[in-house]
Amino acid sequence: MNHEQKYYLTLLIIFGIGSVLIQSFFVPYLEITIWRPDFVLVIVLLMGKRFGPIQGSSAGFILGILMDSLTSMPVGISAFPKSIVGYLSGKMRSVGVSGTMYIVWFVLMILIHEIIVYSFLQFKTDLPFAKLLYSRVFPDTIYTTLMFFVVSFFLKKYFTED
Amino acid sequence: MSFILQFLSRFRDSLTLLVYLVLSFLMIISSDAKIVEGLRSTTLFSIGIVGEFTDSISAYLSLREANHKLTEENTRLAYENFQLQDALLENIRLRKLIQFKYKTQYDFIPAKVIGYSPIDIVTGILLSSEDIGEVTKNSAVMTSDGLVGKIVKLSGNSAICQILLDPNNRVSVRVQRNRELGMIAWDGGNGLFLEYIPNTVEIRPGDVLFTSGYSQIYPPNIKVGTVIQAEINTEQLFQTIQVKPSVNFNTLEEAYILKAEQN
Repeated sequence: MNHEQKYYLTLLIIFGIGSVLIQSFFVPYLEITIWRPDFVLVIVLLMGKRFGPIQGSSAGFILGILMDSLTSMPVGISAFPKSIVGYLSGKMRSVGVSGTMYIVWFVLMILIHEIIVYSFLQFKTDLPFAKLLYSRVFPDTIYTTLMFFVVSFFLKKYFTED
Repeated sequence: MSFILQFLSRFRDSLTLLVYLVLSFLMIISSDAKIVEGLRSTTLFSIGIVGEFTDSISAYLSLREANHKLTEENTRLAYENFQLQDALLENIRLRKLIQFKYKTQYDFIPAKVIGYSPIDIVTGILLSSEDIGEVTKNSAVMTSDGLVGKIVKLSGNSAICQILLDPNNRVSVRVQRNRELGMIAWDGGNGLFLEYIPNTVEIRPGDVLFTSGYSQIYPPNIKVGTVIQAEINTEQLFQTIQVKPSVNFNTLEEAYILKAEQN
């Protein structure tokens, strides 16, 4: 196991599992009306951006499974979209996006994640998807995007390549 | 052979993603499989230990405030108790007269709320109790305010409670005023819908809903919520009725798990 792989595992254990705990124990206190940020998604995006698509999708899958295990929903519902956005975040690294496009790319990935999650949930409810879209998907995307920039600012030194 | 290796090497990023997506999908469709259940139990057990630890720290730090609140509550309840004693004696006397047998069919097992489901919408809460071993899956969970939900997973001293705001949850209820039967479902926000009430039935804001008892899970007469708005749909058979849950799920600290008494 080389240094980079050890570093990846260390970050995955500390920040990945840490984000699941934060999401479970502290995020309810950050709730604004019915909207919550997704810190696990933020960490998956940062892992993908720092290490690449394979590590990004792996982080998304593992953390998604952990999240799902703590809910009454079927296991895999979070792992599925998080694997996709982890992969896309890693792909962004090879494309070399920067500036405004960097922000747009991340907002887009968070939006894709939310759309997939609520598409799954929609099968379980009688609610129209349009309602979930404006009442849940868009506000959650905005909140998570804000948290993404806050978290990436404070954890910059851990997720930046030297 | 070298062609396959070249192919795998070239597309390994996409293939890894594909493997994860297939695994996720398989897990979604086989959520009750033993391996998935084992994974759920292990995670719940581990997170439950962390939750109990953080909870014990915050409980210790807030002891003074809790003690003050309890003293106040104790005084208020003692006063209420004096008022109710008369009513109880009268009630027992009347029950004897009409030969009713007063009996509680459930034990109430106290449990602490140690965490919430970590996905965007609150679908469940994590409960912890030393007596959780006595509880079985699908036991109802309530507080003094009303119905919270049901137990869907148990592991160690922890349990996952699926609350009324879970998209999967449906509860059969009865309107207290006119005894009409309906079904409670999540409304997409922090509220509930009362479904399957025909347009011909009069439902008023303020009507109180209780569990109907037509269920293997929820005992009858537990308060579920209050109607806040009822709208008749001329193009549909049923009304659109919005309900405010009687329990505030954001401020839950403790709950009681109902365990049927063994006779």
